[in-house]
Amino acid sequence: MKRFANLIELLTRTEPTRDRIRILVDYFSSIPPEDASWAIYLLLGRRPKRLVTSPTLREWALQHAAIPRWLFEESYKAVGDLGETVALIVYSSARDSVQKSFPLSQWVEDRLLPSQRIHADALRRKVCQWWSESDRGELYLLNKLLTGTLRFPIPRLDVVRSISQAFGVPITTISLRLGEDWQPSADYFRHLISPGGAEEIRTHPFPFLEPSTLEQPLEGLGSCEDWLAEGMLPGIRAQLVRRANSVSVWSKEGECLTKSFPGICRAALMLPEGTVLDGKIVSLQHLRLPPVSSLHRIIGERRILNDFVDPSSAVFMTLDLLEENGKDVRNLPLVDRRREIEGLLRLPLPLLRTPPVFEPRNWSKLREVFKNSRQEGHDLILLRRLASKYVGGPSKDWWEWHFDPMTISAVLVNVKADPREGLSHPSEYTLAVWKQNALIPLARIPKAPALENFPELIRWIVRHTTQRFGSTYTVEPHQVLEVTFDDLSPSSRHKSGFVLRAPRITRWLREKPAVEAGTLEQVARLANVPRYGTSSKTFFPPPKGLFDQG
Amino acid sequence: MAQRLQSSSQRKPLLIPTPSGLYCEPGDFYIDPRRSVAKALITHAHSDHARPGSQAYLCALPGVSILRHRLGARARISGIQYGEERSIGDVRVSFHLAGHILGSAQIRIETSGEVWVFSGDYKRADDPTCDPFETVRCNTFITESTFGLPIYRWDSGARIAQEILDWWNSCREAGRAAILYSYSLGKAERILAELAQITAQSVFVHETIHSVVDCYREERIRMLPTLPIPKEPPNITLSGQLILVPPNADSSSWMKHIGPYETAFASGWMVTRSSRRLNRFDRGFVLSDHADWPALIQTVKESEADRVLVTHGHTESVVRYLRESGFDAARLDPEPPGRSDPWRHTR
Repeated sequence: MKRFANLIELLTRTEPTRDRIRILVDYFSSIPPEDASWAIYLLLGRRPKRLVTSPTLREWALQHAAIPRWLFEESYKAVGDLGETVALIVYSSARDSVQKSFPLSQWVEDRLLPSQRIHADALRRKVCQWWSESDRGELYLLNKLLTGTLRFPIPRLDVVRSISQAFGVPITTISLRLGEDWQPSADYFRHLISPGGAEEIRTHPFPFLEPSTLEQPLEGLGSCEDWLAEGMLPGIRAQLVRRANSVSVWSKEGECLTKSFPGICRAALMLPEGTVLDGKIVSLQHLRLPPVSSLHRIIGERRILNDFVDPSSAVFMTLDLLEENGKDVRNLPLVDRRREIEGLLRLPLPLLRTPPVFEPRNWSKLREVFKNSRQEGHDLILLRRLASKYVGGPSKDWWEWHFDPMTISAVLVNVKADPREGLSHPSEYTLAVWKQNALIPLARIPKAPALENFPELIRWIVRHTTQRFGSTYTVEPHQVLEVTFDDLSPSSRHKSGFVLRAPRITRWLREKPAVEAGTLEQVARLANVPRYGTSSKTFFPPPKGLFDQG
Repeated sequence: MAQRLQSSSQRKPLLIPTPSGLYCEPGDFYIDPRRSVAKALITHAHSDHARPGSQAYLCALPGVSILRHRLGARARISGIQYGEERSIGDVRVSFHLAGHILGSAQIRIETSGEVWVFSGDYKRADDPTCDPFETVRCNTFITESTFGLPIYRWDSGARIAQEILDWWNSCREAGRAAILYSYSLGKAERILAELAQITAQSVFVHETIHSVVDCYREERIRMLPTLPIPKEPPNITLSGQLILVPPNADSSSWMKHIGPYETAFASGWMVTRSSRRLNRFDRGFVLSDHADWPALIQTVKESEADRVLVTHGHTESVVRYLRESGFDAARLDPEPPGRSDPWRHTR
């Protein structure tokens, strides 16, 4: 438990991915398999059933530490997290001997799980006992497990990668096995890290081709006629592998997505045996707004999307054909592979489609198309050389032509800073827009390099804080900043109702009064540009009968 | 009790806050003044307590060399033995052990039967670099409250030293240097002295720390042997070495040359995850030279004071808690209005 608490501690630092993986590799290669399996279970965001609600835990802590309620609240304000406040308050520093620590698996299997059926009073006595024998890190973890609020800010893929690295098993194999139904045990962990069998390997994808980003003028690409131009909706790049009487879906990072999109998989079973497609999973919710964030959420939460009930929510946009009838066709020119795709997708498979193709005569015509394309909900245009082969890795045969970013002016309302370093080194800014007379937080933006050029602004922030909660400081709503972002999608988790993609602060609009900053209506307008297939003649229309299924 | 309270609070206060700092009118001196004054009594040499520019300074004898180091050779500094009484104006003044850093003191002021004690910064935990805190009974006790919330509870310095040694060893095994950030006056020396009890290896220290370590050695404090950090790309490898650096030092030049390293910070603030997460350190060691919550409350009780004034830190919480526990407590205005960063904590 101590080691896992220490691991969480190390992982919650903002660190580069490669350090995170190093830490995880160190951890996995030095603990017993039964602990490793529980660690993976928790790291992937699965949680044992909650034993206590947070308010109850707070009451128990108040009694245990014998302090008045207001003092607890003051402490909570300074800490900013309930489980941690309780941990710090019930911690007794009296004992100096190093406590023996139970392994994680014993903690969960022998202590937490059997406590699910016991009476609240008995549980309280147990918890107080546990509190009195744990150190700070363990206490925090324990409280989080008790209240079912343990969350990790680390991507699932990092866990998969580090197991792969620690035991020399391919990422795809680990990802595939983690996608199965499993319960933590030493045996499961041994199975997880055992070398892959031929059956498993047959379901693995080809190495992904990685497009380049177009920054130079189109003319540099040569003649327009040599290129295929397609409008891309935001989505998740994936390969669909139809082999060995089954279908598996893989992200380009090697994650197995099969479980997340059963509808697409079932549709793909109709494809002939020995077919591999490269494409993009896109969301067509309401056929208006493609909330790519919701796809990430589906994967992140391991939620199973019942896309037969809601067939419009996830679709595989086929870009390329890599294997046909069990034969590797990556060396054929793109133009031939495309023709084969059209043949394949003549089957009535509404969840497998192709993106709209633009057929301009020359580059300037394509520029016009590009202008309108955003209205269709596209986030970029993909240009592909018609004569090219499909080769894994970075490629100069595929180019992504991105749209210009969007901007909005927003009011600075909060900053985050280490109390010890003071406000002169903020680490995060919260910006808000108006909704009638109220400011609604729109984006939290980490360290803004643009702002470091404005010591005056930093000095202003230092003098105009009004409240503190943990490391978050409320600032008087006066300063207006320009926020630039690539795209935005609706979100039920954000107060504003939107989540911005790659937001950054680009300017300090120091002359602009706060009342003239952007409004939520403006944001909504940016999000609400009419999208998807109303004006484009070339776009693949939603097939008839799409909504009749299920 | 009620009668005594009334009598003491009706009297004119012995110490009053002024823009220049806490002023004792009958003695005509300031304690830890913020501006230049004629007579300054200094509790300890940290820069938020000992500021240059005053005409004469008085501090506890073991603190003289550190104070001189901080204020410069021309400052007029005199030392006084702990416990020695001296008349200044109409009051009698004595300095008493505060256990904060070497030479730190509480200041006791007495006039016609009334006693005030200004605690300065203090701690109750053991510290091999300075003698332990001395309880001084008084009528009015002015206490700091830097860590005045029940979330702040310290482990012993010895235990933290063991944690630091374990981390150092794990860095050595991984072939990395261990860079430990710690305040140059007090904390770094305490770490060196605590470690000296469990190991004998040499430690590289930043030049700012080195000069303070020299002052401590003059006072015969036993610490690990120290070496200066090589300025040029080092001939000897620093991997596996412990390096002590002040948190505000510009370390960019030499850090480029030392190869892989891990960083840690030793401070009481490292208790909360948000402070650990927000900064750029790999590890946080909870080691403080201030009193934690239980020690604050214990000290107030032991002072047997009729009246407690709380300054410097979580004043509101401590005052309210003391009042609810039956003390006559009040906040002593700690900061003059308009100070630049109202949230900035001091060491």
